[in-house]
Amino acid sequence: MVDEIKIIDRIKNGDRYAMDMLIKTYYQSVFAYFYCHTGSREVSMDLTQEVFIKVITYIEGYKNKGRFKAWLFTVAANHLRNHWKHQRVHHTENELKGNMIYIDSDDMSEKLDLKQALLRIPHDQREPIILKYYYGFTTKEISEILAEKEPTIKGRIRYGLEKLKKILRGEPDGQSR
Amino acid sequence: MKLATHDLTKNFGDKCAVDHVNLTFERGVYGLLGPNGAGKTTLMKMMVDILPPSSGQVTLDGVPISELGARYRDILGYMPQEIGYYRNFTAKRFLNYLAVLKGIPSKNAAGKIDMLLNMVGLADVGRKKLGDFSGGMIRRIGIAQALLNDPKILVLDEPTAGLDPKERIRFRNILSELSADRIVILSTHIVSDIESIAEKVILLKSGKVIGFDTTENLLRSVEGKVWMAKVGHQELKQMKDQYVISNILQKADGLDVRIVSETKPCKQAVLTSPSLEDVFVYHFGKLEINNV
Amino acid sequence: MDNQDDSFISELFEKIEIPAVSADEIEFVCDTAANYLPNTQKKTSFWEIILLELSTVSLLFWAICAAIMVFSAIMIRYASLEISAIAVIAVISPIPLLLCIIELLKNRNPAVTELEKVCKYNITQLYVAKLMIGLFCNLVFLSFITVFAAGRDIDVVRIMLTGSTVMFLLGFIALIVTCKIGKSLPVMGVLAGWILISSVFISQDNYLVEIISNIQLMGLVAFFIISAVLFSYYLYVFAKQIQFLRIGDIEV
Ligand SMILES: Nc1ncnc2c1ncn2[C@@H]1O[C@H](COP(=O)(O)OP(=O)(O)OP(=O)(O)O)[C@@H](O)[C@H]1O
Ligand SMILES: [Mg+2]
Repeated sequence: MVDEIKIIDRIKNGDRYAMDMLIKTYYQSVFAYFYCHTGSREVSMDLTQEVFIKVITYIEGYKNKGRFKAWLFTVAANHLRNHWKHQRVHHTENELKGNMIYIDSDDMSEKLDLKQALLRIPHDQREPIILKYYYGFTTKEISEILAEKEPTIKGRIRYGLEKLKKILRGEPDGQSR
Repeated sequence: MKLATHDLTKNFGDKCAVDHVNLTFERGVYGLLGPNGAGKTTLMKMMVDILPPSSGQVTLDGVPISELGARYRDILGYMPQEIGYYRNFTAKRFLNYLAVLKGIPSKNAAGKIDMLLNMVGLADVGRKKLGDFSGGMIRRIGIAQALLNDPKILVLDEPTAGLDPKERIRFRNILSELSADRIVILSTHIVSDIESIAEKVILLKSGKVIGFDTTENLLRSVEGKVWMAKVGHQELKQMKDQYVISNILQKADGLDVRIVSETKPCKQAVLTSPSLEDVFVYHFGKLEINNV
Repeated sequence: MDNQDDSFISELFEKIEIPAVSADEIEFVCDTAANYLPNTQKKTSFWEIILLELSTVSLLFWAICAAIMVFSAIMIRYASLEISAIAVIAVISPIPLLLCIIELLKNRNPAVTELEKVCKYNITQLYVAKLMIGLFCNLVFLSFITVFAAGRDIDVVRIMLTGSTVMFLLGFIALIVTCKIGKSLPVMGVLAGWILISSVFISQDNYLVEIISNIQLMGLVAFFIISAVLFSYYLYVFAKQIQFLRIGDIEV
């Protein structure tokens, strides 16, 4: 990871080429993160761009401490949280409606795929599950990224997995969201 | 670059000065047009992050400007409606003071300041105290300081207020000289100020956006509604009660009146091509007419 | 069972289909993000800001500070032994800092601050710089008096501690007033009030001075730390809010 530190130092000096490299290295992975959460390509692309703008804006404050990737996902997780907050204020109705149609139109007996199942569990459980199983972060890193205590994170992962399994087996999840 | 407001709102007590404004700015010159008290200044202050919104937010490329902080201010130029200054500073010293705050290296600053003073026609009074400047001169200092850091986003609140006609022309030239790769937003309640420079016009009324379109489209919206008629003084009195008058010209043989109306106001009236002024009175002139 | 879970979910995750984003689309993101790259231009340092702010401080401020400094030093050195050095220092110690805050408010109007707020190094750094100048001046001022008065048989540490404690405490109060009202007159009130009350107390009752002089050194240190923390905390609060405060005497 020496190279990464070098790249970041160069970005701090305003190096465009280094910035392009960084973005190209991590674009897909940040994009996938938002896609797992939102299930929409358009929204995920917007959010990904915004995260990279933030990263470049804050880069001078980044202190080569810990993995860069963990820092990147801290920024992404915060951004996602703001995104939901904004959505909730303005689009609660649509979201609710969207969800209803979604559930209605799905054949409950058929097994859902993971992507759809993920969208059905609460946000705070989905978040650590994705970070752990898709990105391979340790629970300690996740607790730092999400600014929560480690046991809390472990609990959320456990509950989330139980719910996921139920949904995947086609059992009613008993979840309003 | 894309600057956007999302449901931007400002309440002062129970008065709503800016009401759920949603606008998107990409490169180009935008005119913000509205009568006194429409909320232009309040909107602009929120867009330059010196007034906290009651709700909603301003984003640049999707990121809230409050989070961008110094990075946003670095590419921002702002000329307030009321320009503050230290009375005992000379023009040069004041500009230099702001240049340091804007993080401009001192070796570039001196040349830039001379260039800008020249541009606004104040080169010969650069060493005079600001306390001795006239209102118009202070406004030109205001324009100069907004351009110090070569901003990508330029917000000008009534930049032409208090300028004489010659200075207005100079200002217009300055604006058109600025390269196209910027977002320029200027507010005014004087239509002729933006008629020839703004590509897009925002009509603001009691804090709400009632129109946001290109100048041509706005002109088109009143096409067929602008009339010219020659009338006497007696007739004019009646007309004033019934119709929206956008202009009156005193002629030797009577009055040339410009009327904005859906229907023909009088039998001698003829249709004429609309100006932005007509759009303005059409929307802001009289309450009976503009409930469209 | 946990492990089974883990591999089961991990496998499923591997199967998740993520739509492709084209190289062009990523290139576009790079172009947009490039606008936010750090400026390679030389950065203005905090010191430059301090120097700049020094240049906006009026001569009157420096003159008043110097006059009071000389006056109090002479007073401590040559006045009759009746007047305790500690008492004099306690009375005058917050003067430079409070004068600095007053000057900051007096010299500005909201219109100037508006211009300063939209600059890259905005008002937060600016005013914090200014207060740092005031604080620094005040410490120089205290040390000068202390050194000058050292000819008399007094405890230098004790004097410095008492002086700085009072300075931080009054600075704390003045900052609260500035945040809440934003005008110089109330701050002047605080300063005048302090000088009046403290000098009346001290001149009338030597007993009080006695108490102060007899507080254990540890106690003084504790007071000093508390007041410094209070001041720093409020300086932080002030810096947080300042972008949206209306500050300055002259109304537009
Ligand atoms: N600080 C304030 N407190 C209370 N009301 C305010 C404040 N600032 C503005 N207003 C009110 O908000 C409304 C909009 O004011 P604003 O200054 O934004 O209008 P404007 O379009 O800039 O007008 P003008 O053309 O006169 O500059 C006005 O009715 C004004 O009285
Ligand atoms: Mg205004």
